[in-house]
Amino acid sequence: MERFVHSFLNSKKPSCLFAFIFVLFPLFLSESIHFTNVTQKYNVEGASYFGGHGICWVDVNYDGRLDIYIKNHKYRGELYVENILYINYGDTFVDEGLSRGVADAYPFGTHGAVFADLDNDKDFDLFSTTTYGGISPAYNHIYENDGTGYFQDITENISPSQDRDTFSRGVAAADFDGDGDIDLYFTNPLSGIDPFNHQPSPPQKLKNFYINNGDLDLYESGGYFYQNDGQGNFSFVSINISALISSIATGDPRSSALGDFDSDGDLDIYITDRVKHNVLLRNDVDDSNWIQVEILSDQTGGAGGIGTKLCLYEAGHLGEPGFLKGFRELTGEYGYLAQDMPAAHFGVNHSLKYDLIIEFLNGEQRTLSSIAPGQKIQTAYILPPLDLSGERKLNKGLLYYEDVIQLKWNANSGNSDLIKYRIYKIEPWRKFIYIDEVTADVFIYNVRNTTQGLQYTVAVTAVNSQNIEGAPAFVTIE
Amino acid sequence: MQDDVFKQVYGDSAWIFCGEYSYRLPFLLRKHLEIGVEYRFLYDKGKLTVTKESVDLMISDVNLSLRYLFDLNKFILFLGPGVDYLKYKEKYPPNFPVSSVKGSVLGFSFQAGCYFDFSASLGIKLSTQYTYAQADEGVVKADIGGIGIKAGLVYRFDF
Repeated sequence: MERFVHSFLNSKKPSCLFAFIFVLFPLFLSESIHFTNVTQKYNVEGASYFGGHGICWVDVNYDGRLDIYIKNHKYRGELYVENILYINYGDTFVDEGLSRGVADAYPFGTHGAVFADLDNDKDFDLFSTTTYGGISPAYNHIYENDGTGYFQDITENISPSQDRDTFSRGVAAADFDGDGDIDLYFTNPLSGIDPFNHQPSPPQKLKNFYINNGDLDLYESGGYFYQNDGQGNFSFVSINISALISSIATGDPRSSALGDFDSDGDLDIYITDRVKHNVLLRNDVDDSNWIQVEILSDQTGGAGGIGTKLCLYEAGHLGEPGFLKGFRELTGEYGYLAQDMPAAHFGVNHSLKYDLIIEFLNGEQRTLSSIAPGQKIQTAYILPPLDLSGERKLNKGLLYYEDVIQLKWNANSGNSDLIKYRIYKIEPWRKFIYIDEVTADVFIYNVRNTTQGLQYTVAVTAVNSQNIEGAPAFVTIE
Repeated sequence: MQDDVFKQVYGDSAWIFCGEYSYRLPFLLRKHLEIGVEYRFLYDKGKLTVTKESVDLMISDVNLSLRYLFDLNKFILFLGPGVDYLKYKEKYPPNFPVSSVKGSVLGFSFQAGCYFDFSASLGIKLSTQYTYAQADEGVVKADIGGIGIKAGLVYRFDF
């Protein structure tokens, strides 16, 4: 299989390369894989003029549902092709790319994108690559998420025009220099001479093709599904079983990304197609043979935990190589122009329990024990306080009553070196409004001057002596 | 004070400082009627019920009362109604939504007690009094009256 992959990497025919993009599919196949084409049901066909290229699964507005961002390239003579941001409303998706500031309508369109917390403010910002068309402006862009899922193009603020890369295709986000913040790597198909005389060098066309005993299965973008026997041997799964006819029927599939958009614990697939409508394939596996792990904040305080490594072991055998059931590294890109959901998905046996080692980029580890399958674990470098609760109270003088919300929480024993807790009011779309902070030995706080009848969502985070802020605990008070 | 919130904020009771001038009417009911004008002042410190921050309460009360006297030789018992004009002000800590609340209200009272004379001009007065006065501050209505127990020195003079 590695030889097979290698041959494609060295191919001189890009069109062939695009047609064979593999996606590792971490499932525990206790039952047959089966997909349903739900593209029309969820209204996610993509642009009418086609041209789909990059695809990212990410929850931009923090409503707990994965959204889809699609990059479109020129096709059928269309210029100024817009990108699409499908916001997931549960039973349907709505394109809000324009209103949220990421439609990015530039000449000849765009290629790749990556969402990462570029400014460590606990939301996913966007780096977008733009296709060269000989018409200005055609350069890469950085968009800052305001915390509500709305974006502002800040390219001009942080990138002098003479230093700005003109255009790119693939992009990867990671802490390449180990300094604790997210760096960007993006390819430029130009070598400084003539864009049209040089064959573009598309980046990362294949998934990181590691094979371990976590039973990673294989999906060929726009192609077939292969089942791992646990030893790294793959066998073709008949279309009669997988129902992947919609995958085979794609015209010129560019990229595919995995995300559990319906939160049922299995991984669904979105495929962009340059010459046909895009396709959303809903995975219909119905079991609890899975564990998902989401890093709410990492060693920098940023969201997503890019670069974090996760090792899943059978319970009671932490660190024993023979009991390793899965290894994942969270990354800002997955294959050609694609970004899976920013969480690790393990296929496991539902009848067992598991222990998990989380290793952050600075080498520090956290351990979670006796994890039961069928659940999504949310964790962080600095863990959120426990048992956060809120109670409405009247803070009475004799002649005036103040409505307050009394917050109470407990320390998380997994944390050390804490110096304080920060309290935030959460406005719609997860916008954090700072209220106050208390020292680490205080576990009660009164949110002052609230309004009766109004629903409040409040978050409390822990902060350590390096001023790194951990994942928030939330409570909603009716 | 009987108000539950008062008890939560300031405790079960508070000291009130009083000064009174009374006049026995010479021409009615064989000198068994007395009128009195009294000024009372309450100042207390308390704590808000949740945040436990300090609050200050000031109440001043001008009371006009009419009392009927029962002369029992060594004691003179009295009882009678009165009207009160109360001004109040409560001051709050900086984080509270308002800095203070102040206002005034009319109240009604009834008192009973006794005089005990040591000499022709010196004695003591013991009495109890119930005052009804409700401060209305929108949604908050506070009973700023209540039951009071008073003890004081009496000096009598003729003019």
